[in-house]
Amino acid sequence: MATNQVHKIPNAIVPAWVVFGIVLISTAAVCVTVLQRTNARKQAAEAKLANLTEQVEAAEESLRFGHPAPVVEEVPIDSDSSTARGESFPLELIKLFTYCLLALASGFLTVSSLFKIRAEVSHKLERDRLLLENQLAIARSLPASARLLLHRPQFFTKFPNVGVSRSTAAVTAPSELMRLAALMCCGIVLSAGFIYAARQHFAAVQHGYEIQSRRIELKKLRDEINANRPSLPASVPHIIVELPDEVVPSPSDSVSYIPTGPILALILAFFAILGSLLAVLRFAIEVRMAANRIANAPGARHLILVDFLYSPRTVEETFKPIIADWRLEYFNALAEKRKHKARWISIRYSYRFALAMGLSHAYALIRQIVRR
Amino acid sequence: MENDATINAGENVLALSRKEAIILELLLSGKSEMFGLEMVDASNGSLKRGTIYVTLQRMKEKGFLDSKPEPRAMPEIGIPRRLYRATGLGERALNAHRAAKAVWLADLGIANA
Repeated sequence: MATNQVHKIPNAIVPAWVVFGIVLISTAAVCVTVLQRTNARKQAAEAKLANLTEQVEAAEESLRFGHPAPVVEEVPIDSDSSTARGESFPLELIKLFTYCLLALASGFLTVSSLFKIRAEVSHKLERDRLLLENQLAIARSLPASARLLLHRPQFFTKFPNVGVSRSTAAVTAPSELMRLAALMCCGIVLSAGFIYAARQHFAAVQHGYEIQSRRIELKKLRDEINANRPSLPASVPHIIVELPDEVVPSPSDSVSYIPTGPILALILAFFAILGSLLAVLRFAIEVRMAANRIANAPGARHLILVDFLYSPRTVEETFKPIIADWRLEYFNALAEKRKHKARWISIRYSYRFALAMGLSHAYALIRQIVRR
Repeated sequence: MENDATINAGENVLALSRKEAIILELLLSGKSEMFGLEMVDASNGSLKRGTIYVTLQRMKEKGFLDSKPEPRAMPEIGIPRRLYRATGLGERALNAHRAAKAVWLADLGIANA
């Protein structure tokens, strides 16, 4: 009950966990779709490659021994396998880039979640420590007679140090931790899924290139058979299955531009590690900034500027009162925990400050010049 | 020449703009001392936060107003706000402005609001 009360956003239209769940489900759906698609392409390419290999073997046999080889039925060319074969170079590059980007994002997500979990745990431990110190301070401030109770085990059931911190920690930490742990698990699963899908896709592409080389080989064999046909026995029929019209193989088609297999896995792993390193770097910068950051009060930079541009009297009489009003309204908004209002106040006062600096006169002058 | 210059200076001093008149009205009719932000709130939009302090400084230079930093407890840090009050010259300038306005409106045949 307490957990729900703490984490519920009072005026939120859609609860955060619903949004979080929708994001996770959609990403998982994308991952599954990509996996299915790449798997289908890989299987189609494998079937096509096996068929062509069989045809090549049959042609070689017939050429070598001069007897008719069993006729191999042509596997219908699936659109997926045909597109997997030798896609245009930029398209392959874009796909490789997308997979690398996904690997980078997944690595970043996973390590970020890990760091957040670590921060949450340390925050919880610190909270427990402070609670314990408070309890001890209260216990020490008790009169001597009451302090004797401290030596009785029953005291800890009435005034527990562990029980209180556990229940208090349950208010905030576990729900947050579970959410982050779920996020991390999803990050790992999704990154693994995308990497596997990438491997499947590029395996299909590799099969496509092999199919091309088989076709070239088959065409050469057919030409050779046709050239030697008069010397072959009359009983040898046309044993080679005609190639489909769409196939116009050229030697350059069988050259793969994109790395596949272990090299591809290495590239994707490199990007996943790069994403993890970026997450570590971000965490380190955040920690450093949190440690060294000294926040300026609103208007501090404006004051430095007008101090340089205007006379001390003008600064004292005109600009400092504006900044005083600015800070008053800004800190009032912050005290009401209205951060956005405070930011809006800063924006409006920056404009007013500019007005006071005489920019309105400059604007009027420009307008006058433009009108003339 | 000197007389002309004095007369011109006097005219400049006594001339009250609409905003200056509003500020003097606020200071003389309500609280004797006010912050700039209070005047903006009390003017119902006639005075703006961005320009009021420029006007107040100009009025102070003319001698219509006097100002001082708000009194605060010592440990408090930050920029103090300024409290403004009308001077005797400011009061007389406002009276003159009201009289001139009444005559001007009477000449035009409009009842003074």
